[in-house]
Amino acid sequence: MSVRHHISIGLLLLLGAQPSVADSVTEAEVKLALVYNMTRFVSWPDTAGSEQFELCLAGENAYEIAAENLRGRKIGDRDIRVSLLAEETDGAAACDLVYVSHDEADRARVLLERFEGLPVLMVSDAPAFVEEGGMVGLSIVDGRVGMTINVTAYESVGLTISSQLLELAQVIDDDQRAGG
Amino acid sequence: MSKPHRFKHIGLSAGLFLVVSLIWTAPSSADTPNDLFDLSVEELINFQVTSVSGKAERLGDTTSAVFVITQDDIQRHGVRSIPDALRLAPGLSVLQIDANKWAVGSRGRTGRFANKLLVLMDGRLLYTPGFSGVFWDVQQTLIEEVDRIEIIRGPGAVVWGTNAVNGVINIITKSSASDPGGSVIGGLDPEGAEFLAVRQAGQLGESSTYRAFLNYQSADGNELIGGFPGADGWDLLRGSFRADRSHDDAEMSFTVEAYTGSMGETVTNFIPQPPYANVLPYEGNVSGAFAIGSWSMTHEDSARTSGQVYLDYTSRDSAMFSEDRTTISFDLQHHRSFGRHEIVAGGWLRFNRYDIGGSTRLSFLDEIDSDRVISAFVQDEITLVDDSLSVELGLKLENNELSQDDVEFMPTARLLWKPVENHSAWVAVTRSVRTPSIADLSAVVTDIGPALPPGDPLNPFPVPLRQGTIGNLAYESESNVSLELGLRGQLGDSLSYDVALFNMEYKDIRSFVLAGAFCSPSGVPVFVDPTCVIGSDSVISTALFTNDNDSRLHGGEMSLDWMPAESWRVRASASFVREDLEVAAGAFEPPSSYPEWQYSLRSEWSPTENISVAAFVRYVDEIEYFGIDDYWQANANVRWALRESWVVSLGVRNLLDDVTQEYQSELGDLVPTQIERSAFLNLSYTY
Repeated sequence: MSVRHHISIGLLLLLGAQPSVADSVTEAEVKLALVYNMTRFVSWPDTAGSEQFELCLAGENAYEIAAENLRGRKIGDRDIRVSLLAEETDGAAACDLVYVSHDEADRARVLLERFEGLPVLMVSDAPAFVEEGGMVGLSIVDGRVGMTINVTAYESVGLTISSQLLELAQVIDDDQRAGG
Repeated sequence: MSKPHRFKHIGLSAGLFLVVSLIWTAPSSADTPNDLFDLSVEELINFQVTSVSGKAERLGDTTSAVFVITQDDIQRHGVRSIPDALRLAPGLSVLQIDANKWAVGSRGRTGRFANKLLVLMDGRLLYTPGFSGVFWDVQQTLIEEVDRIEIIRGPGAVVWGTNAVNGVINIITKSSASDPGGSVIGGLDPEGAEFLAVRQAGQLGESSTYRAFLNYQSADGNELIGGFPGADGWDLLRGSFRADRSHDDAEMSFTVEAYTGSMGETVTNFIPQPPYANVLPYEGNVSGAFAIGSWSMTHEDSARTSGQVYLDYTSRDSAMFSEDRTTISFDLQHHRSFGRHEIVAGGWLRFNRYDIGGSTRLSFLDEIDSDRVISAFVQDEITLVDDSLSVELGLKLENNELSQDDVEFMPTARLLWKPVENHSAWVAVTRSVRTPSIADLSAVVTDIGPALPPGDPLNPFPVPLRQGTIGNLAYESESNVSLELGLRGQLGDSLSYDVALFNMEYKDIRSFVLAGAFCSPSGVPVFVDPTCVIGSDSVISTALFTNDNDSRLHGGEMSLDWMPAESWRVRASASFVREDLEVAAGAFEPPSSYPEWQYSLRSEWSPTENISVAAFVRYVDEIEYFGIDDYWQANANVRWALRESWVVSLGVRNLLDDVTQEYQSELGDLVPTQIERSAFLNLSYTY
């Protein structure tokens, strides 16, 4: 079994109040809020010494939402610096988290290659992102944003993700797939 | 209705409105960055986007009066049936007729055979084209399998099709990937209702999941209004298997389900001789099965294509009529964005095959045994000003064999405006159509009420005078043009509001015109040969179904959603609908058969993580037609999750009044029953 579903509805039901549905927000905002909030459950190796959390975004709309909403916020004890990964930017920008918006899906493979082997959390709502080696994929399932997490992809670069987050996601494990 | 009564309604609504206006003018805390970013991961992945327009959409951005009932609501209120869940939605009228029959309506014109409300489960039509309306008794599933119920008040014709005139109810069940594991769920009510279900779900190979359940439900009959025990007890056994597969960018789902059971009723049987009516118990059999396959894929550019095929068989017999129907349906939809345009287009092809039977009181003029519907739609949402102004234009064309028109033309135009952050206003104009049912076209009812005895001032004949109706093979589609206006938004961190106002202009709706009087059993028209009365056992005066009435329904719904604390949520609503019927010359005018005013108040509180306490209070206005007075009613439920695997739910229904009559079958074929106070206990064990 390679895909394990860990979505525990029972747990969610007991968490109590839900956000109000009348709030007028866009799907892109919900996804970026989720990206921001999931960082609480992720730990990066060797963060000592760096004062900024580098959040890099591919996709102008996503960049604008992040720049507007994450100003003044922190991840752990680090201030967030939001930057746009322009297509022409070459070389490895220093990023802790890369978010590839689905409107930039054609760049996903290039970006995955560029950050390969580095402790950078790769997140996207582009289709098949996780299958291509991304770590966290976002998609709309049953009218809600769902997460798919590729364990092999993040473990191989030394990131750790807490089981609290994994329980809320669909988890893919490449090793298990290879094993049968 | 007396004046003070009316003032009470206006007072309550005005109060609710005042609360909205006061908070509206209060300084808003909108300068904090964005509350969304303060939510937890759990809250964000639970954030509901919906499918009102056939695509994922945030509720705050929809241009319809939408309400969503979630599985969480169902659990907290201890709800065991879909109509019971629908009571939680503001603006719907959900009225129970007997232990297994319901009248569910939206924006007036309700009834057991409410013909302008479209109901679907996972894209499968639950609306009955033969009689119109929905047979709610068999439209169940294991309630734990419901993911959410989306309710659209007002027209939804473009995406959902004909008969979506005054509302759409879209029941969506969970993917089999949702709750892996097994569970046993059971419950009972000392009044004589019980259910037991077993459910198992898990992995099915590499990237597929399954779930299967077996559910047995039964209930004793209600007491009749006169105090005698009713024969409306019922039982239903249902089995279901579903598999879902998610692979790369494609998702597939397949469900097979079957049910069998019996539905009892206490029937009023009208007879042409004294005492003109007798009461009989009847036990009808119901059964059905369906298979549905659906598939959807996301293309590289985020466009989506989805398709669905289903085969549905349903069989029922009751004292008045019987039906065997097979439906096969093919459905295809595509969703794509081009710059400022977001387009959804699709169509379906549906075939129905019927075997409809009547009884001593009901027969059919013409044996209609099949129909075919071809439907196509396109809808374009155009962003005019980013994050502020958008317009939605849609058109549906439908060809229905039962309609007199070659093509039903159903356009809509909708505008969404977000003048400031967290508030939006929408306006919509829609034309929708209700196509004739087989009953409209060809049903002949010999007695819609007791006969008038000879000597009655309204009976000029020396024999009993019976009243009947006759269908009309030239019956046309009824049409409606509705204008809707809505406001919704968020006031501060914890309060949101939703207001919708509507005006619906109906054309060519059903009227009854006296077609003549006939001697029975000879069938000779009295005006042709008045002497036929001599030697007849009765005369039947018959009203013909015609399309001569026009009507205007107007009203509004208002709801507030308040979270005073993270663990407490309160929702209040008020709705009003009023009909101005223009009755054609020579046609009869029926009094209104739905409540004009309704209020509800819902509270959901979680004192600890494991306990939830829910209460639901509702007010239902009088129903003139059936002589039912207005009433307040309340339900309460406590749900407790013990350790990890046990959940106990204990509740009371109809707390405020020990007996209420909520509604009555509009055919006059059933003895009205009492809806009684009852307590219930539900237990669920998950392993």
